[in-house]
Amino acid sequence: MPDAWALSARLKKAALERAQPLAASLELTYRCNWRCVFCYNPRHHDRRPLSGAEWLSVLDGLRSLGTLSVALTGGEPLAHPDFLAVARGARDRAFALRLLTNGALVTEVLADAIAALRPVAVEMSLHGAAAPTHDRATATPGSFGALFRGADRLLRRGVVVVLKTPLTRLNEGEIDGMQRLAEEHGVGWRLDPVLTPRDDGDPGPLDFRASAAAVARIYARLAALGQRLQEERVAGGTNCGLGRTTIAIDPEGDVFPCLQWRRAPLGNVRETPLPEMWAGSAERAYAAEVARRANDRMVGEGGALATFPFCPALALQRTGDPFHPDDGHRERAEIAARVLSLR
Amino acid sequence: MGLRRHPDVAWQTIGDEAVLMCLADRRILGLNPVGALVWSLVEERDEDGLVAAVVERFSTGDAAAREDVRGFVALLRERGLVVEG
Repeated sequence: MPDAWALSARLKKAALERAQPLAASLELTYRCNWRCVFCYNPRHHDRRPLSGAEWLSVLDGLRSLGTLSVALTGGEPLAHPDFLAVARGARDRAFALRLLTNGALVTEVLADAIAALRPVAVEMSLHGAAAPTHDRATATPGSFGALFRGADRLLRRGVVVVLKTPLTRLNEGEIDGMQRLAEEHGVGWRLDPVLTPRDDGDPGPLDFRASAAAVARIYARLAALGQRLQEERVAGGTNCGLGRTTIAIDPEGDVFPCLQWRRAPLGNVRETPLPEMWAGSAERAYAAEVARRANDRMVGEGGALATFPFCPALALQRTGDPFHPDDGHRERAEIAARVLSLR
Repeated sequence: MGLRRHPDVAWQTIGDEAVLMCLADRRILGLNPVGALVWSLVEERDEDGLVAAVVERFSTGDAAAREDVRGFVALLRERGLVVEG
């Protein structure tokens, strides 16, 4: 959720203690009209995708679980034949709605429908400051123009659009240009230097990681903008909402304790009602325990790791151990510490 | 009272409190336990019903509960968080 929607620390803590999954990510489909070279979704398309009616049933389960915010993602969520019915279903059930889309499928008619849903934000990926770089990253000619046609249709209707950029070696030389584009369109812009392996473990996307020098430039820029690169972490705390305040559901109905954690599903919504699954899952309990222990492990590491945001799910994917950060994480933590020490 | 929660409000209870996200003007509001109870029942009960629920849950007097309910519902109306059903 954007900062404007930030819950109080007290309510966040209450949700954490109650293991109430406030934020749900629904991967409506892995189908996508783009072919991003560093995409983390598995290569297979949906073999037995949930129907619109099944997704509505999932939304009922999430309401019972205490979810507040639903993000529709993919793949490309607009490629699901029942996208609009699911999005409307989310709002009918009083969820806050976020959409993560590449924007290319946002027609004038769909823009009207999306605007009527009053999403908290529509988040779109920007991969370069101009068509050649962006279209190379998406492996889709014309995708840069399609992104901005979709974004502009939503902006004209007052929808809040946020551009998000995964920093890669392809676009690391175009940071100023991308920031200028965001400013010209009057939209927020977020930059993330972390690329992840595919959900099926294929490390291919990591070949596109940005250079250390580019990461340092980005961190310096973010720090100058007042963005926090480090977090306060004290012994006895919890690293993140894994297994407690986040939940993710894939196109075939498998449920995970966050979007990144793919060790094993908690279950499948076709077989077990969500509230029952969430309450009884040993995998969820394990993930929640990992989140608790990861905090103390990072505190114990000391130095740059002690204060740098850590993802146990990513560590598990990269090293096989949710408490053992990979080299990329260690490098970014050191860079952030160095950048902050120079300020 | 025949009230409905405004469709542009996203909300959820957390414990005995509630959080409301007003999507039209991008405000976020936290409700205390009395407010959360009234909000969760506002479509189902009239004023007497809401007062009875507050009296039962919080072991308070009828007059004080009615004052709380009236004040809170007036606030919901004033802020456009509920509409006439």
